[in-house]
Amino acid sequence: MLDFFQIGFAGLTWGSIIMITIGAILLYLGIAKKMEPLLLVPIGFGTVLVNLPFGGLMECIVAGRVVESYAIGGEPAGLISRIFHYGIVWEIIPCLIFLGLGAMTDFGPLIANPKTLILGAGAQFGVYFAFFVALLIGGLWPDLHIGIKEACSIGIIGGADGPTTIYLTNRLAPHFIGATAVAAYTYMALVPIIQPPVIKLLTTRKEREIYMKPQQRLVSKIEEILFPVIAAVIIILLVPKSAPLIGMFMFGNLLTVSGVTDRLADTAANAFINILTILLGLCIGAFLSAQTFLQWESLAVFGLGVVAFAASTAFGVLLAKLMNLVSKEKINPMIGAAGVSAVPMSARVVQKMGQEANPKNFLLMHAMGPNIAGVIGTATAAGIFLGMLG
Amino acid sequence: MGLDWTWAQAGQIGGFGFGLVFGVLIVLALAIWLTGLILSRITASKGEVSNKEKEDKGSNG
Repeated sequence: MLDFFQIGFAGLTWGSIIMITIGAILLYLGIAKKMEPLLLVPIGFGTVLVNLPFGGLMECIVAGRVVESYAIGGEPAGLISRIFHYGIVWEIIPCLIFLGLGAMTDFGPLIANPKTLILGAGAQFGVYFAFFVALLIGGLWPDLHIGIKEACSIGIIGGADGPTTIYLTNRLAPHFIGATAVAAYTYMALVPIIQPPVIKLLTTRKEREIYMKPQQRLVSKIEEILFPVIAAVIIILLVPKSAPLIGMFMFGNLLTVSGVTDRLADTAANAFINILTILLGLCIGAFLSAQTFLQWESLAVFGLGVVAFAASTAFGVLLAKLMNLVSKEKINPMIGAAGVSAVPMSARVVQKMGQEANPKNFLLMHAMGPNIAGVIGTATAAGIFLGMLG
Repeated sequence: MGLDWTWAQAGQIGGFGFGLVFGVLIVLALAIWLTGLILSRITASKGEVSNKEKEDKGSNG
């Protein structure tokens, strides 16, 4: 009679205890330290839930047998494995999150200063740098099974864009999706910890003090309306595989700026994206199970992810310094670091560091330009990877 | 080593890919700048026409 009633304590392993502890740490960081709570609380709790044995949240049916973790090609049979399968593997949640992000994004600073798009492009160099490092590691340690497609999925983590990382990895290297998604979202949440040392290493105090005038030119309503349409047409014509991400991003923005779809924009920017964030966070947390995460491959992805992220930050700063050599009006090179797509976390880091160096400096709106450009850049890079390999 | 890829392939993907990202964003930056320029010229010329009309009304009156 007790066969079908399994007590969870019997299934606890050291691996699951470690992962439950990690989940608890993520919850502590999110709740007590208020570090990106909208991401870390669902991820942390999902981690705790999935590592409690025999819960069946990530169960899958493979060849008639029930397996405890999600398996590609299997039929999802647990609550979270179903959300993951139909929301993420079917590419719905990442693209719709981009719709909500577009609705929340103000392209004004970017339109006012279009050359900040170049800083967003510069930060994508980190993606390709990490791509090569991942291939090098994969060549040295073949047991990690890092080939070209896996290296693309690892490299894109450097863009610090969770939905884009998930979208690309799902297409190119779905067996890595757990590790890359966790890495991307964890590093997004750890932006205030990872970026400052990299920025300080590459800039002098004098460079960090460079003052940028707060006044940018006023952007007209018609420019704001034309931007998402023009951007979508240009980018998708040049990189067709970027259509799902860029298309949704620009559509969400158009809902906000058109001025005639306020109800839709309000829903997209609030309830809609909140629902998707809850579902996505739980799914990512659910991939932090002992059997899927505590593998050398996953740990390698996690380690390479920080290389990707740090490299993107570094190249953004270096490109800004390069632009200063040819530009009459000096830009504070720290805004190059905001070229990663962690919006608005990265811009806030730059603002804080700018104020520490020079209390008169208000860099937030200057940093928002490259920050938003980074989102476009990373989605474009993903589209290019897909176009070449997908 | 038994790899199913070559460094030449990787170089092509990395080099071409990054170049294309840069190219796309430069094209977009130019398009935005041009749009802003055209709109500001249109607004400026509308402003000139309107000022001219006001001057004409003033001199006739």
